[in-house]
Order: sequence, then C-alpha cells, then structure tokens
Amino acid sequence: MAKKEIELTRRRFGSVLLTTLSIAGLLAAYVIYSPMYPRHAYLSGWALFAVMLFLTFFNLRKRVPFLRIGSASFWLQLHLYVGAFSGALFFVHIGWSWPAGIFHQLLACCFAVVFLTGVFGLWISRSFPRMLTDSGYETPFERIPYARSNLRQQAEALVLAGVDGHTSPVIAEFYAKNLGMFFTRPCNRWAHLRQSRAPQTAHAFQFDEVRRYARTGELEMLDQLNDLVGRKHMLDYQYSLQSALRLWLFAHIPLSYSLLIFSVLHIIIVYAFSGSAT
Amino acid sequence: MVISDNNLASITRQASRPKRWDDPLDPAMSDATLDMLMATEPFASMDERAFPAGTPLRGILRADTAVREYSRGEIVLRKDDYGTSAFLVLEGEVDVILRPEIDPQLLGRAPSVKKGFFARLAQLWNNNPEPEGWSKKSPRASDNPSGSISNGNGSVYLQDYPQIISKAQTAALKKGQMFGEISALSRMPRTATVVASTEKTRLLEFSWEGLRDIMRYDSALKKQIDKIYRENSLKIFLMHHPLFSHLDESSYVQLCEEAQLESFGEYNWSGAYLRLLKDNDPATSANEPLIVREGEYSNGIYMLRAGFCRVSQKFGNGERTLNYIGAGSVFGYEEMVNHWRNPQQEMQSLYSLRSLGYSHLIFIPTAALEKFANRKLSEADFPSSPVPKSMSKPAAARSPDDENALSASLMEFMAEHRFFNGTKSMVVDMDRCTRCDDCVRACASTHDGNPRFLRHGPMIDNLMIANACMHCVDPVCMIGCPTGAIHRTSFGGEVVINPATCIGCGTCAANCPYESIRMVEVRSSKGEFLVDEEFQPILKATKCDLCVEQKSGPACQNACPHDALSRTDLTQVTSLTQWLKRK
Repeated sequence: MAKKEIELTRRRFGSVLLTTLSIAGLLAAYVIYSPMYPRHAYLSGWALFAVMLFLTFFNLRKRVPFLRIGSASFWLQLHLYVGAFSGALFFVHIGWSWPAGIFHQLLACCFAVVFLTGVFGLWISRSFPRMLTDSGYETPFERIPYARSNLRQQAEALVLAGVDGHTSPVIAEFYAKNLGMFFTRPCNRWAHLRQSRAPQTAHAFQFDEVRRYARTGELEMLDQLNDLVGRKHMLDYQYSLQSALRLWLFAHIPLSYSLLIFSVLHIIIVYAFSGSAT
Repeated sequence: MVISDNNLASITRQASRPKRWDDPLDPAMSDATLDMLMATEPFASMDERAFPAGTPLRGILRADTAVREYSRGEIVLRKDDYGTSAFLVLEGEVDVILRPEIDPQLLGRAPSVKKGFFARLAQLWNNNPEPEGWSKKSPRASDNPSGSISNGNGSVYLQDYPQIISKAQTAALKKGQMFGEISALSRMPRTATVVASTEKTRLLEFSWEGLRDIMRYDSALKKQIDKIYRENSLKIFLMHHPLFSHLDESSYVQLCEEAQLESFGEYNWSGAYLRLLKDNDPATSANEPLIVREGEYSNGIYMLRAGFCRVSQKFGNGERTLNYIGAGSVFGYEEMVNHWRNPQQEMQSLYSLRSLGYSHLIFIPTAALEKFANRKLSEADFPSSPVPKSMSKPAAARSPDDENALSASLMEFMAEHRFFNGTKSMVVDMDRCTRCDDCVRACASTHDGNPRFLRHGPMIDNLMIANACMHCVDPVCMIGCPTGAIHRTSFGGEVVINPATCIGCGTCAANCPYESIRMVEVRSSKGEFLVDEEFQPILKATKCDLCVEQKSGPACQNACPHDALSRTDLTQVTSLTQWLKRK
C-alpha cells in the first residue's frame, strides 16, 4: 500500500474517531450533568448556533478562493465532521423530544431538512461522479443543451432525407410520434437517477416494431437513428445526474440561511419571553 | 436581432490596435545610439538589403535592443533563470562563472511579488465588473533583474565578488562576443551566471524575437551562434555531466569537436502535431522521426538536450511505449556498459527512440566514449535508464504497488497527447469530481472575472487532463510571439502573458498544441467592446498563470472541495502515479 494512501486512511480514521468521541462525550455529559443543570438548553443552544454559523461559513469560504484560509477540501472535511456533531448537539438541545409550538417545530424541521439534504448531498457526491465516469460519455453541464440540439438536428436531417415521396412514411411517423419530443428536451430523469435501463429497453422494443414495416433500404437509416437515440440516452443520463449534483445545493444552502435567520429569531424569542434566563 | 450602426456605436468604442514595436525594449533609444550600433560589429558587416522593408535592421535594433550599463561585480544573468534576452558585449568584459555553482542567496534571489492580505481581500470589490477589462499595468518583461531586487540603486551585485571569482572557474567574454542566445532561443533556463568584470561594462540586450529576426536574414550571425554553442553551451553541459566531469580543458575541446549535434522534428512542432489531430491521424510512434531503432547496432549514446523522445519496444505488430524522456536523459548507456562489462556481448539497442515533436540531442560516438567517458563511475552516478525498472518488466509481472508503474494504455495516452510536456498540468479525477465548477468560479474570481481554463479535455478511464495551461517544459506557445508578451517568470518559470504588450495576434493560441490559450475580446471598464478603425474587436491572449500573484497558489486546486483536481508535473511519471494511488 502506498505511503500516501496509508496517511489518508489514517487521517480519515483519526477524524472519524475524534468525531465519534466528541459525540460520545457530549452524550455522556448530557446524561451526567443535565439533571444537575436544568438550564443546560441555553448552553447547548448557543453551542449549536455557533456550530451552525461555522457550517455556513463553508459556503462563504468558496467565495474568497484567494485568501489563505485552508483549502476547500479541508473545509469540506471540517464541514462534514462538525455537521455530524451538530446532529447530536441538536438532539441534546431539544432534550430528545419533538418541540411543541409551530415556530419551534418549523425550526426543528428546518434543521432536519438541512441535515438530511447534507447527508443526501454527501451520498450523491460520493456515488454519482463514478457513475458518470463509468457511463463512458462526458460533457460539461452547460454544453448539454447544445449537444442535445445537435443530436436533434442530426436526427431530423436523417428522417427528412428519407421523406422523398417514394419511401414509406413509417419512419417519419415513428419519429414524430415517439422521438420528436425525446430529442427536444431532457427525458427519463428519474429513471436515470435510479440507474434504470427501462427507457432504453422501451426504445429498443419500438425500433424492433418499426423494423418489421421498414423497407430494406430504410434499415440502415433506422440503425443510424437508433445510434442517435443511444447517444441521447447517454446525454440524458449526464443531465439527470449532473443536475442532481447541482440541485441538492439549491435546497441545502438557502435552507441553511433560513435556519440561521430562524435561529436568531428563536434566540430573541427565548430571551424576550424568559426573563429569568439572564 | 438586427444590429444597427447606432446600436453598434453604443456598445463599442474605437481604440488603436496594438502593433509590433509599439512598445520598444528601450523607449529612450536615440538615433545617435542607433548609429553607433550600426557601426559596430556584427551589425556593420550585415547587408541591410537582405532585410525586408517591413522588418529593417535599424527597426529591429530600435525596437528589440537596449544598451545596458553594468559596474564591476554586477550580475547580468543568473543560472537557472528563465530569460528571453541575449547579450552582446559592446565595451568591457563579463565573466561566465562555470563552477563551482554560486549560492543562490549570493545571487540575490528574492521572492516573487505576491499580493498581500489586503490586496487579496480587495479583489472582492476591486475586480473589474466586466470580464477582461483592459489593463496596462504590467511592465514589459525584460531580463534586467534589477526590478526583482529592492536595493538602493536597483542594481544587483555579487557579494565578495573578488573572493568568489578567485575561487571559481570562469570564462571571460570580451567586446563583440555574445551570450545568453541559446537559452533565449531554445526557451531553456540559463546555464550559467554572468557577472560584469569591468567598470562601465556596456552590453546590448536583444529580445529573443529581435535576435531571431536578425538570424533569419543574416546567415553569418546564424553560423556564429552555432559556433558559440559548441564552444560555450556544449562545453558547459558536458562539464557538468558525471560521465565527463573528470576531464581537463584540452579533453573538453576534443570531446566538443567529436560530439555531434542532432535535431529531429520541427522546431515549432505544434503545427505538425495539430495537423495530425486535424486529419484525425493518431499521433502514434509511426508518425514520429526515428532516432534509434530497436535491435540495430548501437554506435554511441544520445544525450537529450531539449525536447522529448518516446522510448518504445516491439510488441506484437506494433510498438509499446515504455517511457518518455526529456532534457538531461541519456539513451544507449545501458548497452555501452553491458558491452564494457562483457566485450563479447553485441551492442544492440534495447529500445527504439523517437522524437516527440522537436528534440535536440548530442550524440557521443563510441570511439569518443571509449576515450573520454569515466568508466569508474559508481552505479549510483550512472545516467538513469531511459526505462524505469518497473516498466521494463512485462505488464503482467508488475506489482500493483509499484510506485512507478503506469498502465500501458495510460502511457500511450500521455505520449499521444504530448502531455509529458506539462510541469503543472491540470489533472482531474472524474471519479471524485462532482462537476460543481467551483474550480472554474475560483479561477474567474482571481482573473478579471474570466476563467482561464476549460474543465474539459481528453480522458482516459477516470483521469481527465483539462484544457488549462500546463506550463510546459518546452513552451511552443512562446515561438513566434512578435512582442515577447508571453514569457516565463524569472522565479518559478511559469509561462505568463503580459497584457500590456500582447497585441492579440493569436500566434501563441495557434501554436499551443493543447488549446490552452484563448483569445478574448477586450472591454473597457464600462463594458464596451473595444474595436479598431474597421470595427474588428481588439483581442488579447489569456491563459492560466498558475495564480502567480496569489500567495495561496493555484485557486482551482485550492477551491476543489473533493480533492479531485491537482496541478501535477507530468514530466515525472511518479507524480501522476502517486496522485492516482491516493484514496
């Protein structure tokens, strides 16, 4: 095993161990000290707020790549481990019971969704890139519309070339009915996310069906069209997975900021309506 | 949308198009100085009629030369600096320090200029709101090192000059002699430090493009430079090689005479390579100039001085790439040693050697080796084999933990795409890359709002080599730049473009074999596209500068949250294998 690999494994093991010990320590402290200090929620609340602020800074760090404040990968590692710790801290703060009151429930839901979208984001960030690479086709997300339009033009040119008044209308009809929209927009998003081959199989059946009615000279055209359909499926696969890799952040980041705002309101409300807190 | 003249006028602004010689090396060059130069050798003997009307000799001297004055002990060139200038001694003398090497501290090496904390922070609001806003802040690149040293009068002196020079082996260059030309023309680092040895030493500094133009139209100068190469550069190179470092002066002279200088491939090899790509012809070994064929009689050794070569071995019906070797490598030594150890053994080449693009080699015939090479060399000092041990084994016999082992397909991929040229190539592990483009955004935010690379490029398995400047060992992009705007930085050797002198001709972009230089339309600070009198957009060349001004290093690498991107030295196979092996 290479030396660097061992170092990385060691570092990862160390980080996981440290996080686990921190969570265990927190839970032990809760079990031991919470009966003695009934107002422990103030302490855990402030700690949780500080942790949430720190977690939100990860997004801000990305906006200042020119400052020497550690690499983004280092910040992501911190974000993950501190994020895991924040889950335990949240449960300690709410005292292992679902809060009462609409505002507190909204706040708790917000935290849960941010946490879960984070876990989901981590999962797809670790699994989708390999799936995209294994698909054997790669295109930048911004170029997908151009690639799609290019495929559509090729497919339409192929079909129009066959509409000369002498050949059967079967292929043109097949294209208009089954492939026109397919080449126009991204399709089968969920199927691709589930790694399902159902859309490809469905198209294969449709091509087999058309082949029965096509003339011998049209079979080559059908093969070419089938090839374009295959490429469109690969493009859709790229679109589905790459858009998922981007879209989860549209839930995670705005909700993180909402959570911070709600938390500030929560702090104000707590201090406003519990005079003895100070 | 129909764009009317009114519309066009509202979004554009007329500006004068930058031209060659707009920004001379010495703006203060007077007619009297020019007359003096024209009366000085070698210019006095040059036939002015041989120069075309558009590039007259006087014009070249006016725009591409500068008279510099140095005092005794003042450094003119430093070893290992990258430079684009050559020098001619007009008055006085200079000393070329051959050995021992001088302590870099004594040479006055200073850290390159990096942005301070506040300057970096100010990028948040100081960046031009429009991408690629016109900027003329950067000074013209010159070899005059005074700019890099912050002492009182701007000159750099060798401390304890008399003492250092008394212990050093030096070569004196006098009036009429030239130096620095090989480094300037071959895009290689300086091979020796040069110090002025007399008071009021006057030197004529040539920019490399000026020297190139003069050599093109004056064959005598071209011949003279070839001669100087043999007498100076070749000698210094051989003196520093362990095989010949034990020789005395007269032996070096003989060895230099017997050594043969050979060049293969086109000097501007990117053109031929790009044509191959355009014709969809794979840039495989069959298309490369053959230097040595496997199995043929080996009648000497090849020492690679510049460029790259592919080392291959017959495999089935074709050839399998075992390694690619760059400057400093020696080919054929193994066969020679085997023969010395066992004279009965025939000297057959173990591998084939082909030039990848342009390569410049020194061939030492067997007879010269028998006479001059140090046969008592310990194995530790042997020139390294052109094929790492791990690669000389059959693929099946290689250990997966072998630090140097690259798969055969990856080796072919690297050679076919000429990626071994890159010292800071952008390699992306696509199994980790989430396609988030944080790297692209980070690049844009540190470079005028315009990213200097494309996160796209050739792929093999999970490895992508993105279209970002690789800061090549052999930067072919620098060939043909009419103003010298594209140059290497003096300290790190990064290839950068000076926006102040770039005239937007596109030569560098056309030369770059990796499509890493982009021509972009320049805008004013108000966002108007700058156009010339004919309403053609004014362009400038942009590329990755490896964030030379940023203390944090390349923003792209630092911005990747998944450690998927690395700026890797692909000239060393081990750098890539180690990076690929990480988890």
